[in-house]
Amino acid sequence: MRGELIYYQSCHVMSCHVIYDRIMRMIWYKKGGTMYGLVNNAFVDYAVSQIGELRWREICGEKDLQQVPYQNMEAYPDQETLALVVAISETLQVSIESCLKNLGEFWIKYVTNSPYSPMITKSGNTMKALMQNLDSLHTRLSLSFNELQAPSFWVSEVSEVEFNLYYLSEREGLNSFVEGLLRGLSNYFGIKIDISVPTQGENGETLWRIKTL
Amino acid sequence: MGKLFGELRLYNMIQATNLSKLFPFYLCFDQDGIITQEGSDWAYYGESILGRAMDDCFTFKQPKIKSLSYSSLKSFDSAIFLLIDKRSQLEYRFQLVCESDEYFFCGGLSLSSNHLWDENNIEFHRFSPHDVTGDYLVFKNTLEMLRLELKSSGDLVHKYQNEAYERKRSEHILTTLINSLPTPIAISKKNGEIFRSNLHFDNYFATLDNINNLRNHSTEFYHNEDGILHTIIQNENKSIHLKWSNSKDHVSGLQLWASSDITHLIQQQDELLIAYEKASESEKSKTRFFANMSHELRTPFNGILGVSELLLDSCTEPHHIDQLQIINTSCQSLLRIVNDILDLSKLDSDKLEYENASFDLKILVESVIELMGSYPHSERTKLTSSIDSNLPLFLKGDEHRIKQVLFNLISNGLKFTKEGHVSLSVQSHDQFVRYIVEDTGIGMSEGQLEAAFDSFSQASLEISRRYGGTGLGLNISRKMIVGMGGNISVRSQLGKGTQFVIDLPLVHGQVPPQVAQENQINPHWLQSKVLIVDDNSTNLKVLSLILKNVGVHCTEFLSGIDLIAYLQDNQAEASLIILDIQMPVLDGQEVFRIIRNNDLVHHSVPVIAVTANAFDEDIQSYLTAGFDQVLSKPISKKSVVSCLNDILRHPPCD
Repeated sequence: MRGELIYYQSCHVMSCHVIYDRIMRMIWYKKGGTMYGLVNNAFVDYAVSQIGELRWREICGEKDLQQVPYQNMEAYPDQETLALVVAISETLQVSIESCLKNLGEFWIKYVTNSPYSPMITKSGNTMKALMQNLDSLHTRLSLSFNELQAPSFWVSEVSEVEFNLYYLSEREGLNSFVEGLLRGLSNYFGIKIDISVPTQGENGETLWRIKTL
Repeated sequence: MGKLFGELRLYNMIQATNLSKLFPFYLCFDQDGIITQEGSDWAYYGESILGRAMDDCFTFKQPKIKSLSYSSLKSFDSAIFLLIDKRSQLEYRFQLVCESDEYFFCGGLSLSSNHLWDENNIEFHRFSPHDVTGDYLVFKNTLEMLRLELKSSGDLVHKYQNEAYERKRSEHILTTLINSLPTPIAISKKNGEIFRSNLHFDNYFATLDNINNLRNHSTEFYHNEDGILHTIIQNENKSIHLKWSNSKDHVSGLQLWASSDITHLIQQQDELLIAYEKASESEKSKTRFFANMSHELRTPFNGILGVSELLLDSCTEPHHIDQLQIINTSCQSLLRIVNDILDLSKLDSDKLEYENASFDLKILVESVIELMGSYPHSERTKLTSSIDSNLPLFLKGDEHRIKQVLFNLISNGLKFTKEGHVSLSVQSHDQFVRYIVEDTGIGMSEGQLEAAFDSFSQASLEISRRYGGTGLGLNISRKMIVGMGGNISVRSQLGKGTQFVIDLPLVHGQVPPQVAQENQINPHWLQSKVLIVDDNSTNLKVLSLILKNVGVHCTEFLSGIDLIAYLQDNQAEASLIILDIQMPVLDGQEVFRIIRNNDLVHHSVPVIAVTANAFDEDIQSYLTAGFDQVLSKPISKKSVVSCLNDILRHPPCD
């Protein structure tokens, strides 16, 4: 897996989106994980918000995607989620990277406007607190969502307005999605932030420095 | 801070701040019930209660101690206490730990007050990680989500049930609808598999399960020029013609194949075709009839006109001259009527072709006026003409047809005007040449005007009797003007006169080739020997007389066979041959071929065709066959002289 990741990064440096997309698919498929239907539904909602329901139904027909809504509390194979992301990126003619960023941002909007909003509102009243408590929330959620394969986030304070965010996940290639989440959260808290270029930690974690402007 | 947990070493490790991490809502009070320590979250959710009496802050729910005797609390060591915060009404669940003179309440928010947690917006992480209450809180929220999920699933099921019902209903309507349509209709999947069809379709294509196999189930299968599919099938010994249209639903990928039964239409088309063929045949018969009529009528005209002209030339007796002129004029009039009828038949079948040659406008007007001057009319009627000086000298068009129309209109004017004038004026009008023929004659009423251009129509029977005429002139005139891209209109007032206005497109022409006046025969012919053939002895005589009249010697033959026999013996003596076309046994064209193929005369000897077949295409066919000139019957001295002179201008190649 490490070898693949290095390969992916070199492709990223080359900005070769075609190879990048292919590698992305390879990584996700190899993992064989599951994603709750809630996430898939959010992605479908994003697609519908961009191209309308009719066109999305056409695409589902063309690409053999599930036409009926996903069960929010049901775990689906990661391939299903990946197929959705690929279909959306192809339809909107954007790279998978930008597509994931948009989906991350949309995800926060989707959750905070749904019955699931207490999970966000009661997990911290600042962006930093929320990111700090996210792991505990995921741990507690796993009581209900037995197949939850949540990533890990932790925070170290740099100054009053700056903190480091660490991210480690079994799924790779989702940095853009996290960056989208951060954008979504900054909108939710009504603040402007600057997100540094991600760097790689010694233990495989990704590090961003977040600065409140 | 006193010792906690007896002898446990933990006591040394746990400082107050750390204790807050384990129990954010812990309390420590002394024997008097005064709070000496508090957990970190007391201050977070309200005022600090440090230094206040327990009785002031809390109500003891369990054990039910109304007035706390703190000295007796030791007997409750390790017991569970439920306390209610008097400010927030939140319930707390503590375990009492007594240590020397200090009492610790370790615990946190109680489950029973969970409805107040939401109101106080207490976050998940206010519960220390070992406290299952935090887990419960998240779980409780998850359950709420699950409840909503189930509700939304229930809604979804309900929605799908409704949709299923609607779909069933729609399908029923669709089935009823497509079955009620009178022609075959089918819906196919992407791969052509027939998904739905109506009763008519099943009736015609019972065994067809894939639309792509439609060809195999049809007697005929073709696409018309617009790419529309047509099939013919046999049903109960009848051929059914079906025209198909298809439309695709891009969402479902289904294709609708709808047909319309055009059997009746095809039958009508076939009938129309047969009717058209019959009409064409009838049209051809009509044309043949007119051609024959033309020939038969012109032949006697040839005799009458030819001889009367010759007699007029030689006659000196005034009394006879008058009578001869009557014969000649009457014959000319009769010829004009015959020509009108022939023109009309050609105009009706759109076979009349128009020339587009340059002509001199002044000459055209002068020749019309000159000819019309000799047309019988009242002495008190003046004939005048004028030409707009802005008009070009030379125009392009069909001079002959323009003249013909002007003759018609002016002769009408002269016929109906007893006193006053008939005028022809030519003016420039925008992009048109405007010819105005005006008279001060009897005029026409509004009703007569409306029918003026109809064929065989005259203003009234009385007019027909009184003035004569066939009533064809105006109808022919209008058809010719329209055929030349122009327009003709008429204004008239009963008793005052009539005005015809013709607009023809103004096209600039060039100087037309000068045609010499053909009164004198070229002296070349005076020394030559001309051989003439006509089976009709009158016509032969007329031609012979004309030639002799202009000083040309000729030898007459009553058949082509006689001529051929003569040429075989006297080849060198012929310098011109004039052949009638329509002759029994050997017609003129056959005689011509024999002469040329057998070199019976030198190839430089010209041969002229004489014919009563006056149609342009006939004349053209004779020229194409090799004749050097064509002379139309009835012939006149002028036309014979002109024809002979013309041959010298364009001699046959040596």
